[in-house]
Amino acid sequence: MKVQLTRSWFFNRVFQLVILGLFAKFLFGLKWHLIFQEMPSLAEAVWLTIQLTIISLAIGFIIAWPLALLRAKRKKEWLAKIADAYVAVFRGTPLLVQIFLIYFGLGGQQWMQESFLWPIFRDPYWCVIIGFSLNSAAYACEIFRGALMNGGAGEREAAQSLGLSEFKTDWLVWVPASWRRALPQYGNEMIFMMHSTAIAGLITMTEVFGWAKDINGKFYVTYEGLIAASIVYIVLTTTIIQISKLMEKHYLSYMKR
Amino acid sequence: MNIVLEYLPILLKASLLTVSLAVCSLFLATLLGALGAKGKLSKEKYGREYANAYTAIIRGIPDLVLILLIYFGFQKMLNVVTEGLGLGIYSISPFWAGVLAIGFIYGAYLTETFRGAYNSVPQGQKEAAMSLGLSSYRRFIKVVLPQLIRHALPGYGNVFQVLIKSTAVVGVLGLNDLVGLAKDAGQSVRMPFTFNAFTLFMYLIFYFFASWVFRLLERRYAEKGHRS
Repeated sequence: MKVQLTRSWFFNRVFQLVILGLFAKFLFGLKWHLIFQEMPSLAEAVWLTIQLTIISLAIGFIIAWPLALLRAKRKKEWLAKIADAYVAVFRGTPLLVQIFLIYFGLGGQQWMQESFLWPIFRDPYWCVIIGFSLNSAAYACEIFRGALMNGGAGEREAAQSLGLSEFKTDWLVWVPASWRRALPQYGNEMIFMMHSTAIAGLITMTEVFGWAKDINGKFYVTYEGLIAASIVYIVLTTTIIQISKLMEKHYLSYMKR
Repeated sequence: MNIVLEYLPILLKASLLTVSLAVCSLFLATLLGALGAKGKLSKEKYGREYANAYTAIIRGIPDLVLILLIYFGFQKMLNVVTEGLGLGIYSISPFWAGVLAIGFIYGAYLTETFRGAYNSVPQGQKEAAMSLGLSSYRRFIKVVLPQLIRHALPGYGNVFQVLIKSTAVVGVLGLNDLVGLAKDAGQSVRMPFTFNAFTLFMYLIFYFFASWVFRLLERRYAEKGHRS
């Protein structure tokens, strides 16, 4: 989607939204005042969604790079195999099931409830963060591995000829260059992660989706909460698209000279 | 472990339900995707605008929210319509509601795949077919479509992998598919870990099976002479 976020575009969208909202109000009797009434709790929910997204993306990012290097270099074959299996399992199964496994599964074990980790696994917040981070790490690892494999031979030879050690070649030359190549796909991963945080709403957390579910249950309505949540998610998605564009501008600015 | 063996027949039946849900919604998504791609590529302004709005809105909302919205919203809308027409209440089963929701969502993703594939068929091929005097229908079926399938298959396979994974969400809404059943059964016999691990394992099997099938298909539709 190519969108120029000018002011007139923005006002046009808001205008269309208001028209559609009034239309729905008078034709189907949707009660928008409920949403305006619940605005403060919506703000908290949005903050929780943003928080979950950023924390899981950050942890996933940190885990993903060493794994991607391991899988791209394949120097220690057995470690690379383990990393392959990790990525296949986390990319091949629904995130929902992974979260259930961590929250209901691990949290329901006897030994877990007696161990020192229990305060972490009792709290849905930490369960969700662990699940999301591991999942995001697997997806990001696949993206980064593609970027690492996709070129970089010349860069690495140049770095080696300058006498950099292997560690420095990897982390100071290969990884930054690959990060620039991986940026467009990583932007998509950011959007997907933000969308996946909706799953946290299923295990009692009140982020945007959980908030919508609560509203629908509390006032016994079908559409209002979910439509408000959809609008919030679309706004967040557009914001992330803009952020990833800015990141591309920042990291790829050297290429435009 | 014995308890899982006792539950195994039901769980396998439930995973069959999951698979049929995925296949039915893939069918619907393919239809909608073809329609959307047709709209996006058409010269008419409204076709383009509706298709753009469809993909932009669907891709901006998490599937969980959309599935819930369609799952509950569609039934309520149907009730309004049938009441207005003076017909009795017609309730759609959770299975078909799920098919409708997932097909509608992934139609938007397939629209983009098909549009990209159509654009990557070289213009010269279409022109050559035109110069041979083929009608527009035969031009599409005989010349463009085989090449379009070749370009679309990798993206189509990826979308199908994501689609299978999102069928997990429908189980939460009350359909007794693999996820829903395993969650309920796991809680009732107090072995949530084992049952959810079984679900994970089944989804892993689906994942590997689907990627195998799509690898075969890609080889089938690969350019002749480059077949490995």
